[in-house]
Amino acid sequence: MLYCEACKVKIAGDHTHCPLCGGNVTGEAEKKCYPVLVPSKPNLTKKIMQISTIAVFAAQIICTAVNVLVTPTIWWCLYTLFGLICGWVWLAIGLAKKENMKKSIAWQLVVVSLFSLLWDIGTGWRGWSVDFVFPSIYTCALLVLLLLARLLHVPVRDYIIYAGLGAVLGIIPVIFMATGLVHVLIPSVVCVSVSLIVICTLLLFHWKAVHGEVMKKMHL
Amino acid sequence: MAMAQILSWLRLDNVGKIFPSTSSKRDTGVFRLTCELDELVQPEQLQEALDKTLEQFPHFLYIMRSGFFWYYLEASELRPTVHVENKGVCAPLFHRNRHTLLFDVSYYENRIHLEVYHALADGTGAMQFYTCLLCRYIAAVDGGVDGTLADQIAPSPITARAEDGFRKYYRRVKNRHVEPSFRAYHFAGTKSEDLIITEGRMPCHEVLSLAKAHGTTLTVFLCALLLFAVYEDMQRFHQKRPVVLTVPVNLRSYFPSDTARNFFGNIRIAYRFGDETPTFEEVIHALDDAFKRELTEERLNERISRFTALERNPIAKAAPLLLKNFVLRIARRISDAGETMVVSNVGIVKLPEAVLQHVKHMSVFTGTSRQQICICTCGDVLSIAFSSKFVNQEIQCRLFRRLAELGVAVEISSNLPN
Repeated sequence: MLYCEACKVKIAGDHTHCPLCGGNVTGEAEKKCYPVLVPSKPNLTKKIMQISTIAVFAAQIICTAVNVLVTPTIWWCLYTLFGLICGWVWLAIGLAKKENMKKSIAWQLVVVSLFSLLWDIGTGWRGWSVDFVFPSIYTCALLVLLLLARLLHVPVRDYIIYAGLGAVLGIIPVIFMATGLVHVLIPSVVCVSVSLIVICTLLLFHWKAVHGEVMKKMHL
Repeated sequence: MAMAQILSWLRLDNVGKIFPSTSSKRDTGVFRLTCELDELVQPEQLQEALDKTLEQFPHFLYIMRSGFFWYYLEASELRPTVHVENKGVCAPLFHRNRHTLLFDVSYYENRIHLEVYHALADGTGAMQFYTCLLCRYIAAVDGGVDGTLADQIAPSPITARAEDGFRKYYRRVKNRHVEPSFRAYHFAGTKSEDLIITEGRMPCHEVLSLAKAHGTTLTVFLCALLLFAVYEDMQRFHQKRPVVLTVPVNLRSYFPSDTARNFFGNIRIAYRFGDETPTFEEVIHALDDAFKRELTEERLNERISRFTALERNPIAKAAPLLLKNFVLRIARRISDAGETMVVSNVGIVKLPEAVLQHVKHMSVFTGTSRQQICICTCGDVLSIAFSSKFVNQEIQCRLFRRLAELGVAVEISSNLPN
């Protein structure tokens, strides 16, 4: 047992100095009380985020510089700024939610639809976001979710909420069609049809699971 | 589709709701119960004991899930495996995007550790689980000990263990006392990445006789010593600020419940030092009064009612979880600004005599982003454990030196690597 003369206390374990006052200790050391820990692996996600943030900054500064020097009349560097920000946010969310596949898909869906909407409005409304982007990503997301769930043998109750949510969102193109925003009908119609089929299947075959999960997720 | 269509689930209790919204890598919300036995731990027997104990505490196997309005606990197929201690003390157990168990059992040499995320259980609840685990382990290792001793110390029906005590005892009570808000004294200094544990173990009867000599309880006596240790470390400029101690109180002693989940309330004890150094007796007297004032059924009921009423408020309920997380984090920051440190006395741990023979001492540590003390007594060994992120060990040094000066045989144990 070690002993500190200054503090008048015994010290367990193996120390070269007193843990209280930092002074010298006398006596015989014993087995350590705490294991020596292996230093944890450097966080890869953090590194990727740091590198991409610097890359985005650098790229934007270079673009602005080129814009100012070469074509000072057209501010195209604003487009690159927005594009780089979109890309950075998409990466950040993707990395943050990488461990949870379903949440990742849901967030990607929201982020990509929002950004494409903003781009469409920002580049003089041509309607390509509601014509093509929305229906295709909703359908893709839904199908990817269901396919992955099947392949990875995920039990129904785990992905039912996301499937249901995705399917319900897939009905939104109906609103776009009704308000005349959509000019190319095929993608929206396909999206709505697929969503309706998924909803019917869920409700018919897994009603109990749907009901149980909704009660759990929405409890107040 | 042979698996259950719906899994059993539990709403988080009133206190439990705070933790998943406010935990982080810096403030993990995890606490550790640990004991040292008289011989090396045998992993297979420990695993066996753990599996048997879990049969009696099934809600410990629940994992955290996020709903639209609240977090909740849900049964899972995850099963714990005992392992050698390989992470820092009170490492994070709750990860927002991963499904993990909210407790962990590990061992190192002669010690068995149980780490629990605070949303699952409080100190008393986790101690019920831990004592059962120890009884079963000792029975597996020492053939002469009866395995069902665990049932004798915690005879409650299994269903009562998952009861929500706050919900059971909530009734609308008018708040007669206004909580004074303090600009409490805060510690300052360099912080380290890892939690620094400085534990002092001493014979309980020596400290008890000292406390009795001053005519007060163990908790008040130690709080008074702590206040002096903090006071001596304060800069003169800050001496006008009150030192505020938050003391968690086990509500089960006032409102009977067998729950192994959270059922505690925090009381705040403040002491302002002022210009003249008070005598030890003056401080003890002031603390005694403060404790007596706060530790009444009426005051505690007001606290339960206030926090449960907040939870039941329809506007608060209807806020989506993301918004709640944001608001709770701010509320937690405001609450933390009003306290200097937390002093948690888990009390006397009751173990059957046959098991106690094998246990040298028991301790409790909590994760924190600042400083916290946990006091625990087992057999005749009193353990006072500081868990701190601050590199500066002045307070610890002063407190333990003071106890040693008063004639108590103190043994220090620390996880500092030097």
